[in-house]
Amino acid sequence: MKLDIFEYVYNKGLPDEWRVEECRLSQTNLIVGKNASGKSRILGAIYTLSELLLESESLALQPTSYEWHLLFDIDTPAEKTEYILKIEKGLVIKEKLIIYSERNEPLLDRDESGKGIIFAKEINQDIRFQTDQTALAVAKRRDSIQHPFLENLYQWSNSLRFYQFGTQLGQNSSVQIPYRIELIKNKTDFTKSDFVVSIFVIGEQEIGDRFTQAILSDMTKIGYNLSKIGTKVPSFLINLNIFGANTLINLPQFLYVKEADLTAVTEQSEMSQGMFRALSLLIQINYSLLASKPSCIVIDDIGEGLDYQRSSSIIKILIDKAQTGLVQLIMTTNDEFIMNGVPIEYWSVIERTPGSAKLHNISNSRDKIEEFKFIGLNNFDLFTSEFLLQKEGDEEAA
Amino acid sequence: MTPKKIACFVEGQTEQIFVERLFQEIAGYKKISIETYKFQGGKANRISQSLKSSTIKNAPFFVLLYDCGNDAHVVSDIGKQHQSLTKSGYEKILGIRDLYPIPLGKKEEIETGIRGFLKPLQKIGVPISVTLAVMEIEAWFLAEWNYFTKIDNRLTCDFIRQGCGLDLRITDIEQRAHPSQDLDEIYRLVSRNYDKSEKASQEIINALDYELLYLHLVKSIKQLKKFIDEIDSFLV
Repeated sequence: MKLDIFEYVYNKGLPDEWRVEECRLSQTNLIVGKNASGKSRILGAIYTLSELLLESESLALQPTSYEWHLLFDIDTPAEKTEYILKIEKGLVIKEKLIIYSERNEPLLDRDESGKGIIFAKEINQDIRFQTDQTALAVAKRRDSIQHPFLENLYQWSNSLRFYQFGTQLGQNSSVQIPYRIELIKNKTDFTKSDFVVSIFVIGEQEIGDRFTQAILSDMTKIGYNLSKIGTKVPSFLINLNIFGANTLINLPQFLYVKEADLTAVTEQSEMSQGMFRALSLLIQINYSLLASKPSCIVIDDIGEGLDYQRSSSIIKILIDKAQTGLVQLIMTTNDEFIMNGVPIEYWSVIERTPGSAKLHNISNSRDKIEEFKFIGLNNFDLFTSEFLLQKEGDEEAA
Repeated sequence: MTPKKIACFVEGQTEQIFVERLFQEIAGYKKISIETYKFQGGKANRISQSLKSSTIKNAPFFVLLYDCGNDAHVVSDIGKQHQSLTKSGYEKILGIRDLYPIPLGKKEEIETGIRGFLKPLQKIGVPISVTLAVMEIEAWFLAEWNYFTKIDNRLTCDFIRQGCGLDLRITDIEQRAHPSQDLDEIYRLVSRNYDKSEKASQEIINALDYELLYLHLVKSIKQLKKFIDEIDSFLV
């Protein structure tokens, strides 16, 4: 499934109301905007929804309200899907799912009482249900025999990956490696960067050379010429000299790499922030692409902490991987070199007005984008000149 | 019809206004579209502003006029935009910057430095030509001394010579150390001043005789000739 149209409202009607006006997303998206324009918040709204869709437990009681309106695969009539969700103070007020290939009426429709109707495939009719007011029916009612149409939405959220590039991305994490890979797999949350060492160990064992070679190759492309990657017990633990040789096997391990021009290995704790961020992201994305295709890769602040050459290279790798793997890519950045590396057809520039964010992109500003391409300045200047945000007559006023 | 495109990087407002008019005068006003952008600040606080555009429908020539806001940025900004402009189908990139306050004796050194910086770019994309206005673009205005009487009819060559000791008819203006200061001193003879403001620059640029610049002054001002030759070869 590809998320095509997204609309979101936070605390509707309240003084702190904030909305993302209906926006059209592409296969590859780079969201740019000034500081505090809502870039991360937009990604957060997508990620939060994906988390909720996986949650069959009750929602947490919060004094806030949220509304999402999503449309998937709108250019593929057989798969076009619409999902609406409203939550107020921890209660689901409205939830509606329409899959247009099945029928134009909702396959699931519930109200704030928790009562609703859902289509039952095997008996070929709508049935009434009542679910907990604090739970999402699409998650609670999953049943691949009676309601198989709920599975696609679940799969979309289950395979969405969200990375915050400006954070540690798991640099402080380590893992005890058991004899049986299943033991570590059961404990691993593949959506969380804190499990990056576990994800590497699982990828190395399940996928093998193809996985490690993909990481090494990608790291080399961005200027980290690595010849080897693996896990080891951190030297600082060994140096404590309080463990016998036999107990080392039970100690937690973390990542190391061998840089081609260095004689010694570089351990995870010694890696620069930029190097580890790139390594962690590439481990997680390569695993995700090789083990099971993700629906959507969401990356906040891509390029943060990388230099010019590495920013420019990593963005090329990500776009290539997403396009080859037919994975939707949604990223935000403030980085000049990332902006210059992403074709402006993939851009969405945020127009921030009090209480809302509107995205300007190829779907609603094609003429302006073509005009800018003709002028031929760096993409970064599309951002600094606010070219897409100018209204007719602005130039004369300037 | 897709227009031929050229980009011209200038260091400030006076150059921007002058170059815009020069293109229009040489090409003909109906044959050239000009988009002007002004850039300020560094990476973290960069501001770019689209200034007035002179858009002519179906004009065969298009000029992107890029005001770097600072002479130190002309060459580096060309470097930053070179790949993008190459991709966008530009035929040529021009740059124009002052030498002042660097002494005239350093001109060769500066030119060598610029050539060295641009060499790798020249190999992979659209050709670049940077003109060093010696010492400032105001030198070219001094050379076209006829315009002074349009500003104030007292400002004849003799009056200027008597007031400032500068005989513009015989002076090699590329040897003047600080031409904008010369202009200011001339203006002060009639109780005015030259402050490089938009108004002051525009007044001069409206009064200049472009035919004189184009046909005659190029014979004596090497850098003006180099710049106009580049424009001429683009406009064929």
